[in-house]
Amino acid sequence: MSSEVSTECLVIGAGPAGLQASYLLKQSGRDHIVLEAGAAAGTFFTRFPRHRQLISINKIHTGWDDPELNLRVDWNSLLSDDPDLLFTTYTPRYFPNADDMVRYLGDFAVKNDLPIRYDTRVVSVTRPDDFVVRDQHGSTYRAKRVIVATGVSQPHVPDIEGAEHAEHYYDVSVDPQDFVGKKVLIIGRGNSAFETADALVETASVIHVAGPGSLKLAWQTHFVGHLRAVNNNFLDTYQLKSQNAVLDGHIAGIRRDGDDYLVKVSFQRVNEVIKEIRYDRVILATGFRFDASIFAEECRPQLTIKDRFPDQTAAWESANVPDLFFAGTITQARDFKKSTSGFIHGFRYGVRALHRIAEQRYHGVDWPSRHVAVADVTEAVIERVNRTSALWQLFAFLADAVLVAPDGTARYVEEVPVAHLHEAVARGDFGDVESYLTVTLEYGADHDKVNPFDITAGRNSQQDTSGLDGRYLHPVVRHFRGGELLGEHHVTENLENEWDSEQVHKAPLRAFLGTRR
Amino acid sequence: MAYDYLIIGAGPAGLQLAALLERDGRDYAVLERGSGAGTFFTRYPRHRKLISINKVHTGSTDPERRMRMDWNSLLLDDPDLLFTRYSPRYFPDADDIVRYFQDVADGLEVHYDIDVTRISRDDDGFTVQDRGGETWQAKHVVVATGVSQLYVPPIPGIEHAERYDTFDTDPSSFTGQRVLVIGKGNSGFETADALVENAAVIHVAGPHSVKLAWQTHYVGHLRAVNNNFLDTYQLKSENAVLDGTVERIEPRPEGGFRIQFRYARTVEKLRELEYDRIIACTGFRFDASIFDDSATPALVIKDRFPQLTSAFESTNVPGLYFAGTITQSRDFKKSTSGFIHGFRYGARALHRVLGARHHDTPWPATELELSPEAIGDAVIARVNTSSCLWQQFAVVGDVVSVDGESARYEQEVPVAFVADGGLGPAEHRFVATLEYGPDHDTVDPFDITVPRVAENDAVNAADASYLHPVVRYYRHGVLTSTHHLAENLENDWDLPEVHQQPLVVFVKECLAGA
Repeated sequence: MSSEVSTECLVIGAGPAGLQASYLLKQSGRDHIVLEAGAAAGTFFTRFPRHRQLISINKIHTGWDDPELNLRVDWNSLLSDDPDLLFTTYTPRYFPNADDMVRYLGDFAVKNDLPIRYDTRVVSVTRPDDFVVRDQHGSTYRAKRVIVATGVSQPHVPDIEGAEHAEHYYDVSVDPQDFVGKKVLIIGRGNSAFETADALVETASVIHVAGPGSLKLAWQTHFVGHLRAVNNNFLDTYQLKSQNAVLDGHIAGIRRDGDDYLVKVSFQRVNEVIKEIRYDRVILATGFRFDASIFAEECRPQLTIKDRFPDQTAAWESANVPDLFFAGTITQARDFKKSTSGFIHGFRYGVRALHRIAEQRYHGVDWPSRHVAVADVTEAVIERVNRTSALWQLFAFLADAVLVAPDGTARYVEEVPVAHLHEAVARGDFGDVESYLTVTLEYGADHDKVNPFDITAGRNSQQDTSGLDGRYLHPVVRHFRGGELLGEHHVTENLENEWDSEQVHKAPLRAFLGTRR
Repeated sequence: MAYDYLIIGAGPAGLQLAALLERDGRDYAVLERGSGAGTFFTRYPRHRKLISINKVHTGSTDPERRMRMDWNSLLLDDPDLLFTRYSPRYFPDADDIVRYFQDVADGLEVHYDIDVTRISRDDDGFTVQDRGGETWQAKHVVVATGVSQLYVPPIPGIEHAERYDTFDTDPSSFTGQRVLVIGKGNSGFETADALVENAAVIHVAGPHSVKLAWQTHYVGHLRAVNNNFLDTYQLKSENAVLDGTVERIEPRPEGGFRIQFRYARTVEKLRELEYDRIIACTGFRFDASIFDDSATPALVIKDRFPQLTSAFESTNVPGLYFAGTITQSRDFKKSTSGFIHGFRYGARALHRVLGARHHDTPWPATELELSPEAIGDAVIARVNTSSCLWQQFAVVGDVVSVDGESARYEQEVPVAFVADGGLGPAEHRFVATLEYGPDHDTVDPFDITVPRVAENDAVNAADASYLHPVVRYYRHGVLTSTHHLAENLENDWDLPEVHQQPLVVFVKECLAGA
């Protein structure tokens, strides 16, 4: 049964990131194999989210014909040339059922004829010379490089005394009838915790959701992993006095007392007063983590953020294992709780950028670029910011760049990670660059500290032409030489995100660029 | 012959009052325009989901405590007539409440299909005429007609907008359209959320900040169940909340509409915006058109509600009383008189007012031993069980009156009614309410950098911002001293050292004149 296969690149995991990587490798004609533990693509989504409602939006009716614009409000599709392979054709629901995602990813794998080996669980990764990957059947795969797209497959268990007594979001019953009249503690305050709490509102008698730190609402922080409105109904059941509560504090310990649990909560807002509270059920909904256990010592990636994610370079390469790359939700270590690398609508562009980086590094294929006349830069920037989905989703993280050569000619490159761009320009990966512009979409500084619905908080006029920072998403153009920031221009925010007014948007940008020569 | 009471409207408030009058054998009739009880709920809310909670599993067997979590039931003696028996849904379907009201109305003196067109008053009392030409006489009229009219703001061109009360709620007709919803209340956001899957662009516009019920504790502000739309704005999904005023609406020759909009938070000039559809979700108002000059009640709050005394009587038409959601003018955007779980107690208080005024039935009272311990224990017992004080926070209180050597305990009296002398004079009087702290509505409840008074902290209880008992002491009607009981996570205010003993000390000092 066992065999040995050699390939150029191994992709581990046929979830959305693995499929996206494989699609791009195949398009470029690169020899590769995808190894998938499950019987089909997208196995994670057969179980998660536990209550089956995806909170990645699926907006079908956009009023636009432009497929690029449509991707701004389609957070589930992968990037492909096939217009039939859009998730929006799979369900009309704004918050889709996870089963539709499984069906979509399965079709994506089949229709693109991706080289996936299913039921192939990687049990070890070693690196005697090339990487050698072994599966549960004893077969081995050799490759010069590996892309790990295994997602966050393990529950993150916080360091709480007695945590072993608690149930897990991972496998707790999702039948609310199992909780009738119960007093339930849910530890965690992310979407999984509130999704779980909200599902029990009709049956549990008392629900407490506990965790340290202020509750963060996505509508204020613009980080879609913070609490989403679709999951926040529980907050009313607390503040409108319906027996439930949000406890702001650390869990200091969990112990059994007969059939009950006694949980010590250390309250943060009241000088860490400790109170022991009795519950019938205790559920940990404390997030997930990357599983590094398959890697042998010589190629085990360093971890970061409470050892939950692999530590990565600006090119998504392991910080300590060369040629070991990461794709998918585990790349959120690069923009943790800021932008969208942890989510399909972000990492689909991350994977495409990784592919371009690898094409350059392993195959000498330059990052795609086009020449742009210096006089046309304003138009080129305006045209892109009004269309791009990549810069829109991976705000402040991906940039378009205008690279100016010593002879004054300019090239336009798209969708480069900002951090990688600085390093790559310095290394000469983009040729001779005298100075360069980055174009990003960004929220303003401290946007996450302002209640967006408080009208006493002033806002810039949409007719403002000062070029200064705004608060809502808007284009930012920065000028660099040798990695040093020389100037910065903000294009005024706009209700419809249409930055195409000659007077308000273009002329001030042109004036800024005029001072950059 | 004249009835003692004619109640106009067989909605929840009319039924609540009728059930109490029926129980006490009073002479009354209810006139209802519709063919059944609760007609309002056959149409509203338009998307059919009630946002009044229905918590069936409370862990408590005490019917009074269970009413704290049951925002839909009326106050009836029959334990089978609880709304919690009608639906397991936390946010019930409006059809279930129609079914419930019809069962409640069974056995009450309700006349259906009676459309009241004219109410007049002379020295003999009230004359009520209906559309069928019949005439009804009564000594007193209780208007429980709800807010039956859409409030239409004075915007030039508003007649071009569709209306919350009549627009087609089927989202498919909005597919791919640009839609403006005017109004930032629950009906506005309920309407917007229902269009999220179909409309291309939705703007929700209004001049004020969006107020979240979880911060203001006013359940008429935006509820979490309706706030999903806010994410679709801030997470960049083509929709938006516009802060400002619509100044003009005009149709475009090619179809659709152009509006002029003035932003509230920038100095920008008028902005022109274009939409395919506009829906006005700008609230409701009381219909005062049925009164002739002899009985026209004064109105308040942009003429949306009748002006009431603390006894729920019109300020200018004696004998004309009000019940139900229109009594929200008494605690506008503060407490719960606008909602069933609040006004059911308001209607019961009105019943007691009427009993005292017209039937020699004083406000029900129990005698208490005159001792600080007995008074303290009685208050502690009630704040730990009462649903009325819980729901009608700061508006309705329990009262202990001490005169000479006797003390009596009167439950659930509107605080303003006490202040207006409704219970008569007393040397010492304690009024116990449940209240949020001052400025509770300006604090983000989920910001942990805002310090909180520890639960069970009796010393700093006065600074508590979450719901907690407050006891005020009046000497000869003058507020003399105020005592706060420490807040508690489980709302159990019965710890001897934390709650009971400090209250007894307070009562003792007040009685001693300290």
